[in-house]
Amino acid sequence: MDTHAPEAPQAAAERHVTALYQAHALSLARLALLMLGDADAAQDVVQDAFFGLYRRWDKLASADAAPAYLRASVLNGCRTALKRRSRPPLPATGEALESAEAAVLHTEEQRGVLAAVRRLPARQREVVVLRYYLDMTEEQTSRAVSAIGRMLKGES
Amino acid sequence: MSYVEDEIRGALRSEADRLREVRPLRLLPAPAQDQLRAVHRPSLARRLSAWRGPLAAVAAVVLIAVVLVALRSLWKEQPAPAAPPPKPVAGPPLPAGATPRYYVRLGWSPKGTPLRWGIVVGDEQTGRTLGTYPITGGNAFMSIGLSGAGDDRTFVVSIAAITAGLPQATVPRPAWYLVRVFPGSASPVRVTRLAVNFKASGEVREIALSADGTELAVVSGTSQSTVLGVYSVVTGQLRNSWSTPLGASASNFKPVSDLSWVGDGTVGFAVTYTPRMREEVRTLDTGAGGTSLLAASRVVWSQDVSAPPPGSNPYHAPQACSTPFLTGDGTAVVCATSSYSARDNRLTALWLAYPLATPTRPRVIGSVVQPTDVNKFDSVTVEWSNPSGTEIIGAWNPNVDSVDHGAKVQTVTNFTGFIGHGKVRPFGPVFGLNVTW
Repeated sequence: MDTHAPEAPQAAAERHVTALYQAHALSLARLALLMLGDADAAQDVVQDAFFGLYRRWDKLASADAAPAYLRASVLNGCRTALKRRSRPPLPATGEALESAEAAVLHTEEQRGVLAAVRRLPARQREVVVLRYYLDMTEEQTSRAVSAIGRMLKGES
Repeated sequence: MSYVEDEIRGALRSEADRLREVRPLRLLPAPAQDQLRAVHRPSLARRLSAWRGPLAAVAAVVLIAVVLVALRSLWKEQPAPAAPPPKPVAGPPLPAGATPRYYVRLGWSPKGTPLRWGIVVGDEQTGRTLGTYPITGGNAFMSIGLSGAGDDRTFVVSIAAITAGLPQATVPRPAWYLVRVFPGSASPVRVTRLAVNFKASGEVREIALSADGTELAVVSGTSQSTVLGVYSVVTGQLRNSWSTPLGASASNFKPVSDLSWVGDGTVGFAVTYTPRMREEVRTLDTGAGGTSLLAASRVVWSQDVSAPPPGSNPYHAPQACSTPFLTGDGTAVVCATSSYSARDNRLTALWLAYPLATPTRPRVIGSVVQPTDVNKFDSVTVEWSNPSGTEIIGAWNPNVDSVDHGAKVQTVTNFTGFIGHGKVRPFGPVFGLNVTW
């Protein structure tokens, strides 16, 4: 027979984070892919971000703040991942970009744009991605870039 | 908005949209995660490939996340004996017109601390969990395979577990489980280990149990090649195998997929050359000689769709029908796609059956028209089909864009439902990783 016990805090965090993962993981992974150019690394960053949220769930001021927290966490994770790399952040001949699908899906112009974006320093690439992929305004982009570090440190 | 800005936006979106799937979420207990991080960073090369298990008369639902609801298990936990293998002969198949009731998925076991993964067996009609069997050997999965026989009571699960964060010197060997459902009994779920002598290298990507539960088709592979093997469930021995140099890549996750059984001697499978554009369904006589998968099999259905024009919305353009399953009677291919109406500005999820006799005249099994704020599907899939392809279980996951704190946010909602005769009956979200009916 089923019985219903009060939900433990850990279970509540798991349920919330799981629901957020279901709704936002793919879009965040795509964001990280644009930053890192590597699908596996992007997924690692996203996993880390959700695990970080899970651990800090009880410290989150409001569940409504979770998506913004996750986005900031993913961007910060990308910065960290890029810093770890000793070679240029995105290989000039990445496997994904050479795939048959990518070769067909991307136009010549798009391949040129992506190559140019890949050559940008990490912070500039972040600005381009926020501005043109997330459609932030210039002001929002500026605020977001400077706020990421503060948000992750728990500062308001 | 300048031309250059348009180009940048288009290029970034095109690149981002290449990523179609994410791994299952893993949430380790905090101390364990800290300890693992101190040892080593997670391997970047790790990828969970078995996002959608196959079905013979059965299929696997791919849902991104894992759920954690307060489950009350009727399962009596017992250690799984390694041998001898049980007799896995399934019962009689579902009668015509019946839809499957029981499912198997991977979820978190409600027992024990820390939480562990488990094989969860549920009843879709009542919404109840019948049992949960905890899995040992790791806290994340390298690969997962789930499949069921035609009786809706017999399932096989393949799991290659790893410990997240620890370096993997070799691909872990999968563990195999036979799951049987005995409705109404004191122990409604019984799980035993199967001694499948899995020899292929690489990860298990899909499995398909024959309708009578005696044979298991297994697709496995690496980035260099893919192998399709047929195993005896009773003895665990490999009966035959074939390979192809088609390997998995970041953009073509599973070049060989969508396994199904036609009778007890033919396996149907799909070969994807370019996702959304070029694919085919083949049949393979499991008694066929040779070692080449493509040479030993024959094409029974194919689609070749042109790339969308540059600058157009790829989600509004025609694309190859996804998850093409050969039906159990071998007469049709059922698959899923989407269509876009410019007049209504709406997307529609669409499930089709292509009779092999008249492949240019597909029959609509069912459809779901989306609200206008849905801008794309991450995927529309077939998860199960009855032998004649008139009724299926389908899944669809519409995307809605919104703005949060000034940034565009994509929200994905996963739906699953019975579809047939022009009707769709969604059922409650069964959150979990790889669900099979």
